[in-house]
Amino acid sequence: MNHALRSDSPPDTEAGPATGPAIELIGLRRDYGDTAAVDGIDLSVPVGSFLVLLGPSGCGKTTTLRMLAGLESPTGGEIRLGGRTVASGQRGVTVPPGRRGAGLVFQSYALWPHMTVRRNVEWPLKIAKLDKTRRTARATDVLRLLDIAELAGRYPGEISGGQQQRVAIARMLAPEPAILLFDEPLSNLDAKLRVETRAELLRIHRATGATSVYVTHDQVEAMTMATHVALMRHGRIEQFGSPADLLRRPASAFVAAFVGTPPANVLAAVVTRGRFHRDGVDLGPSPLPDGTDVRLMYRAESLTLDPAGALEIEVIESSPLAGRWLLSGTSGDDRVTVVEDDEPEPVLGSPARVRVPDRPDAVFDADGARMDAA
Amino acid sequence: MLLGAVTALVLAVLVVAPLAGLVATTLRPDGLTAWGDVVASPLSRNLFYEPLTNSLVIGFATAAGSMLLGGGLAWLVVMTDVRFKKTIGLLAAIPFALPSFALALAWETVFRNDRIGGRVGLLHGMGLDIPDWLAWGALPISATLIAHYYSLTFVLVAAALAGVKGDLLEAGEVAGASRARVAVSIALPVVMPALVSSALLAFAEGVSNFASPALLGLPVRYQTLSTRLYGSISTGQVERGYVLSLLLIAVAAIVLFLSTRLVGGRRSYATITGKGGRRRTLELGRYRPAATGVALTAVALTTVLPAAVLLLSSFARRTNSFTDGFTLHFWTGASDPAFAQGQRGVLRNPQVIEAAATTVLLGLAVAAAATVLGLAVGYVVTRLRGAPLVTQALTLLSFLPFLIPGIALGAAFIAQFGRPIGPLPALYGTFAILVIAGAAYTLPFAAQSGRTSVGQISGELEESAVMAGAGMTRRLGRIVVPLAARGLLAGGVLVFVKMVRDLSLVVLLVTPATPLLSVVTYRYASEGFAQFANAITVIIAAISVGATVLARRLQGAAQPWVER
Ligand SMILES: Nc1ncnc2c1ncn2[C@@H]1O[C@H](COP(=O)(O)OP(=O)(O)O)[C@@H](O)[C@H]1O
Ligand SMILES: [Mg+2]
Repeated sequence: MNHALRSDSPPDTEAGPATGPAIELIGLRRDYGDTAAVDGIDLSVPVGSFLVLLGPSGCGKTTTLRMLAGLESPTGGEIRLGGRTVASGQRGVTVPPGRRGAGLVFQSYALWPHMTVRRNVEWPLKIAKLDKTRRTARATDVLRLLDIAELAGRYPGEISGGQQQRVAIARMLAPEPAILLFDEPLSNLDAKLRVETRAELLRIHRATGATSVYVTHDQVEAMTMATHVALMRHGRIEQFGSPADLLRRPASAFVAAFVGTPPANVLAAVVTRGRFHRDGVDLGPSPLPDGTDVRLMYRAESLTLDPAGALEIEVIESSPLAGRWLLSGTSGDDRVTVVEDDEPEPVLGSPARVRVPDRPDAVFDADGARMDAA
Repeated sequence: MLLGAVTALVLAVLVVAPLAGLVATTLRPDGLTAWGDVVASPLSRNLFYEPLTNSLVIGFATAAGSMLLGGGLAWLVVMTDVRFKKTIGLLAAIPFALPSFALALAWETVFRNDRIGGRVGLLHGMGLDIPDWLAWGALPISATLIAHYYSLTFVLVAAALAGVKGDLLEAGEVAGASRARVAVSIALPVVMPALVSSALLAFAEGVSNFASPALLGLPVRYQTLSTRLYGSISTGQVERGYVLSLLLIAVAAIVLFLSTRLVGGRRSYATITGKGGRRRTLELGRYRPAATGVALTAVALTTVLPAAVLLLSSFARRTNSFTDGFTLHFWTGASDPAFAQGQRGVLRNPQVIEAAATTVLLGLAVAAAATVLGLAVGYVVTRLRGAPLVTQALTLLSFLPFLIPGIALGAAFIAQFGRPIGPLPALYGTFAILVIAGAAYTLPFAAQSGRTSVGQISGELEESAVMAGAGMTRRLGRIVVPLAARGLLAGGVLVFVKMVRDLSLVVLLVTPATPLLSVVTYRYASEGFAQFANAITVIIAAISVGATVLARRLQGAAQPWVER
């Protein structure tokens, strides 16, 4: 991974003063009747960022992306691209999609089936009023960039899913947009192609110098590709920061349980007699007042299997990962994952014991908000 | 938005204005007298109640017959191992593309008796005594209408049955039900909506059809609502005609309203189709030859036989006789006082040639107009979800003509456009009124095909053009129309065929200045020139079938990116 693309420092300090933020969302919202698909979100990223909108299905990612593209109008708040207000819910400003300097790759690719690959790429240029020679040259360039020049004469129905996706990306890149928008672009590809295409997309992102916004529900994609991640839930941003921020300093129990491979363990507990207790099991000292309901976060690597451990789990699966082993089980309603160096002995379906460190990696309140200093 | 408003306005002029004209006219003093005459006077029985009874009887018979024949054939073809499925399926789909008067003329050619003098049919000519009930009235009218409309039931039910995927039926078999049991208790409920709605459509068409009762009932004063309506208007009692139109519309509307209510409650079946899997067919065993024979006979009796009768009889030297020699005179003969009062053969008759040209032109013009309208309606209804009022208005307006029988719609257009409106001249007798009326008449079909063909194009395909900065005109021209072309073309051909073979809408609107083939046929038939009538019917059938075949070719050519 190119280091320049990964930033561990908080993103809001990175904004270059000369250009201003490439994308700025201010209190952005979109209501459908009584329900809010996007419920007031704020963020700002500098030029050249790779922003990932991450979150479970239905959290408002696509709606946000479509508002950025201009296919959907906000019912409140504002969108600024390169300092220019392109949409405002209050003032009813809407710059049409074609004039935002943004390109979109649809989840379904949405290639025009009645046009050849070359025509698919050239047509947007024709609308942009480029003359024939420049159109042809530009189309040839992007087709080469995506390594699909030899498919130029085919129709979308005659090429594979992976190739269709390349065409969709080429079509988006042709007019040289300043902002690249992707809606779950890898979700229709098989696992191997997905990993290859991830690298490919980053290469293109760097080659164009554009700012990208990438929607996905897959935290692995977010963690590997993003400079900035906005983890969304119920139409709001749960946490905004670099991938490392989300991993190291999760702002809520939801974030902790959503990101990371494997994600951190979050266990419900209550404070009694100055100590954390879970179903009567002592998990260590607590600075909090007695009676407080808490959620304790333990990273998988902080837990170990130990016959003398305090916590009992029922083993449900184990799998190899990069030379080590992940063992998962359940404790009450919570899922517990442990990383082991050797293949674990416990048999699936049988109980095992886990040793829990004295201090949890983080403490959240009953609603999932962070309690200890992050 | 603008497109939506403009479309709504055009539809209002096409559909609402004529109806309003119709109602307004019957509310004037003359009209009110007419209401009294029709509904409550010594004349009522003759003017209204008897024709209404006859219309309803024919409607019921047509619905029941179409359901049995069309539904039964569909079941045989799709669900059993009956032989010659392809042939049966092909032939059963044809009658609907033929003019409904083709079958009435063929019936007359065979069964006409000497009750009203003049020419007699083949059988009577051979010395057989044809009873009146077989030659005239309810039975022959219903039989010819069934032979026409069962085709629609067949197509709809076969499609619904084909949608019942194999695994759905196999699930029943695995549960231990016999094949026959599965067919009755799983397949039948699934196709019930198609069966019921097509039966009710047949009912509405049976109630309002004009050609069959005009040829097989009118000569012996067997009146239906539509022949009464035609009689009133063509004899100058216009208001009575309008009142009858409104009553006919009411009857058709009630029937179709009931049909949507009936089917609406069961709509959820439409989605039960299961997934893939080969369908195993019910083995007919020792009944197989008999079932095959019955099916083949039924489709032959409604297609090949009438066509052969019409074609042959158009060559008959003596009307409706195959034993007195044949001649080309009625097709190509020059004027000869010995034949048909000196009239020339249809291919030499300038009036017929002109009518053929006008008919094709009308078909093309209406198809073009209706397709554009259908596209606009389809686009607005499927894409402008932000404006539910416009969408609903369009849906309603485009469905409305469905409730208006052709002959009543024709009357409505005379009521509204027969007189000058402000600076606009009276349109009666012009080609324009035919096109406008035709567009209104075929609107439900065009709108339906517009809706389905635009609806099939995923919104993202258009949005990616929006992203490229393409405006609506450009998106329509470059994305929507090319992708919807196949469906639009099919809809356009349906409209063309419907116009070319239509008699009921145009019979009141046509004047000698705008002759149309179907009207010329009707005149020849009622004046006793059976050979001419049959020859022209053959021409109309040839145009209809030719258009359908050509459309298939074009559809292949219009979308080279499909199935390559
Ligand atoms: N056109 C719409 N009308 C009504 N609700 C919608 C519409 N589009 C999206 N929603 C709702 O908004 C929420 C967010 O949708 P979406 O942005 O597509 O989520 P995501 O892409 O994160 O899965 C969902 O609950 C969805 O049902
Ligand atoms: Mg989505």
